Amino acid sequence: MKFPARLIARTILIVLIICPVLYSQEGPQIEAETETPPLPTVAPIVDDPPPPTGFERVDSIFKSAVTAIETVLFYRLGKTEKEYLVFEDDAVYWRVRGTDTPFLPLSEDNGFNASELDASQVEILAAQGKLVVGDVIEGKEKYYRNGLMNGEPIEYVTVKLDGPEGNFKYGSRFRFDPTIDAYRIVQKKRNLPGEQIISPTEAEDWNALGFLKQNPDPFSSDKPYLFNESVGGIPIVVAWLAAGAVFFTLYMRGFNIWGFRHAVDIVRGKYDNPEEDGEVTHFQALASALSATIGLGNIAGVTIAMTLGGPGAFFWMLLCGIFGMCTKFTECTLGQKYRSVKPDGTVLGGPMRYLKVGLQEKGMGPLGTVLAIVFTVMCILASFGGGNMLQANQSGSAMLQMFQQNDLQQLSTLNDQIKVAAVAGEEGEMKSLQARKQDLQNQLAAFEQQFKVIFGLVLAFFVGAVILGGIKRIAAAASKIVPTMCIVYSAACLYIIIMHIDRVPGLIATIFTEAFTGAAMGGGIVGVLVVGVQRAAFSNEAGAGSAAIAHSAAKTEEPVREGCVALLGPFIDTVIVCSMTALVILITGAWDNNEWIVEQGLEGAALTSRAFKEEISWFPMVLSIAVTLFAYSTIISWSYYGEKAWETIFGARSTIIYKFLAVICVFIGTIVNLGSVLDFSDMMILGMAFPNILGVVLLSPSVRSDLLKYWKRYQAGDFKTYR
Amino acid sequence: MSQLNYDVIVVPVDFSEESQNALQTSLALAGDVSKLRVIHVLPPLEAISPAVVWGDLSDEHRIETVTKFAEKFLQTHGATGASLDIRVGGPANEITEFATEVNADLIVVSSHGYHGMKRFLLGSVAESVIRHAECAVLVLRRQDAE
Repeated sequence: MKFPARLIARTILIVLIICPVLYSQEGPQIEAETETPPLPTVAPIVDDPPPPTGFERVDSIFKSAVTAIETVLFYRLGKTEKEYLVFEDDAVYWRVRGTDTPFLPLSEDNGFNASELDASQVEILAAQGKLVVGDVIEGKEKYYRNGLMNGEPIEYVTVKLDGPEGNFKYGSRFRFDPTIDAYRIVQKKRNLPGEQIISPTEAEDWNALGFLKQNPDPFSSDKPYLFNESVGGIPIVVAWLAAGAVFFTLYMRGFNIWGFRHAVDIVRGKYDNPEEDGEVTHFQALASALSATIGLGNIAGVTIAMTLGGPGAFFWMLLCGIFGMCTKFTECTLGQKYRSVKPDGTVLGGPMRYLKVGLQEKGMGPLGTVLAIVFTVMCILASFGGGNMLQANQSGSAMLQMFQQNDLQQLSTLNDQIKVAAVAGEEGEMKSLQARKQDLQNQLAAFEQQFKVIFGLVLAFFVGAVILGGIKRIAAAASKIVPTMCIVYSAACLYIIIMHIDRVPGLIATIFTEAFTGAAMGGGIVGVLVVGVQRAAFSNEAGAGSAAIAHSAAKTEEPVREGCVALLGPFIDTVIVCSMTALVILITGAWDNNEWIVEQGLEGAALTSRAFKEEISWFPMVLSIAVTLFAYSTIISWSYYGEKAWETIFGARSTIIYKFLAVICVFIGTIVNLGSVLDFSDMMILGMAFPNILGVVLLSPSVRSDLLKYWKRYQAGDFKTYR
Repeated sequence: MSQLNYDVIVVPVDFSEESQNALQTSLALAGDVSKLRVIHVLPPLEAISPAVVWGDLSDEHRIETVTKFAEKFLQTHGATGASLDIRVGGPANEITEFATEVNADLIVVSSHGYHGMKRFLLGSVAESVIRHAECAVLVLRRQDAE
């Protein structure tokens, strides 16, 4: 394949501009807040963290963007403000920076009985998780943090202390409960309210003793330890998606139910006429759209929903999947209706077309243009993030976990042994265990670094081979493995379900009862509903408009017919595949497992994998491979969406720039944990729903009349069948 | 200009209004449709499009479809019988290579007159053709260009 030299030169120029931003080490230092409240008698410690790396700086730029978008997209309607305080009693020990002397207490009466801490004591405390996490200095995680005392460089450690009677831990959050006029502890798991209560006077006393975390930006001058948070309410984007889905279902008179059988017939090829305009058959269009949505949402999303919202969250996910079918139907019918068929028979369709052309026909040209542009820009960004970097990142982690499985197991055994030794007071034993743990951790970290670079390069190579090199067979082969993987995954789920079939009726009942009674995140039914709807939207992307791009490629002259096919998407994705995961998570009790969630800190895909391991010991390996293949096909499908969006704005010949950027994103996504970049792009997928659903609602009257006319012809037997 | 002798005139068309103009100008210059060599350049097929990943769309099929379309286009614009070639690749490259192959005396290209971002990203086919062509090139300004 030949590339115009000038385009390549321009792309290289853009890359050269971006790279120094990522790699340069200079830059303004971010001022950190002091976590330790300064005690009046001694000189205060000011944090002096190492300068942020290039990646951290990029991440912090995105962080502000994420916060800004979050306040809009996730603005909670009907939220309530709640006050809370955080118990943070600690003992600080310090020494001059760069020395090997023991750490000395900052104040004598610090509640921790040690006149000094030597290196091995510090290590043991760190192993027990009793130290506030240290700085990462020159790529190595330290036990201590850098600070300044009277302007002199020091190192210091902060020992976390438990509550006065040992009944709760450092970092516990207490939320104000007006019904009892006191602060009630918030449990880590699912943020449920707990039993421990403290009165406002006790809070004052604690504050005087320096037990409470101080708010750097206090809203109450006499209570500088109070923080504010919003609880409950529905994020605007979730309300938007849910309202859209309900509207389309009612407006199309429940077509997801009565059109279902016809949809299955179409996918089976009954109406496939090879002579009609388009690129692919109905089945191929559906497979293509599904390969973009099936993946992490089905494996990790369900688990996240249930750990946050309990089994009831799955009920709302399911409902959202069923209602989402009509959203998908409407948007994909429009995708077909307003697609443009190019002279060579290829098509360009999707929200960027129907928002612009469709609304223009309705006399709303300017609005249509604005919606189309907003959608297109968001789609490009989403294709780099949620459809690319996030996928690369998660599949990299899944594969890494598979390779490190035994070492990780050993590490957790060592941790247990250290705890046992600590309780028994065997200091020698503890030190030798600690040394072994340190070795193992170093090995793991070194391997992780190498592995991620190699994995990133390999993945970027395979993505590049297809989207830049035009090697058709790789994409075709990988994509065709997706349905197989889907079947393997479902089969494993079914095996587990059948083995425990006696428990299934009870568990299904739990899903339904918890949907209306469950307490998630302290937010009641609304909280459960929000979690479910949000995860379903991430999984099946109904309302985001992305699938309309794939479905508009189908060979048909009946837009409604392709819409019918599209409604099967959320059904397969959410109602079938997600249910499988949900039942496995319920059967294994993974959603409520203290050891896995609280102690081992497992979540999402890792928790799902752990749950499978309980039933089929070797399955996590298959799951890691499946996650990687799903991720690969999602990257390919989303790159297509992104490229089509790019083409709409910048023209077909410049897509080479898009492709280069996409390949670079795959690599960056794998090697660095850009939390905020991922959040940002994830939000873009949901953000696409704003312009899309608004436009689709405005255009829905024509879809409805098309549907009713189509159905009349169908019932009159007007359609020729081919199979 | 008509005193110059143009036996082979290459006219790239992308079916836009500008390329209709190019076609008509070349017809007027040549005076005879048989002197025209019309070329249309298709972008290479995307390996990530559903049609390639899941279906079996081929360049041959696209060429077949676009030929039918182009023949109709020529007919509508009074150039029935002009020789037509379809190539796959980068437009500027394919146009100049084609002109060399057929020993063209002149290439008549239309300029889309893009500005700003679009121009930066797309570049100008006309510009590139002028730079690489081995024969004379006539560039037609877009009629509504500033």
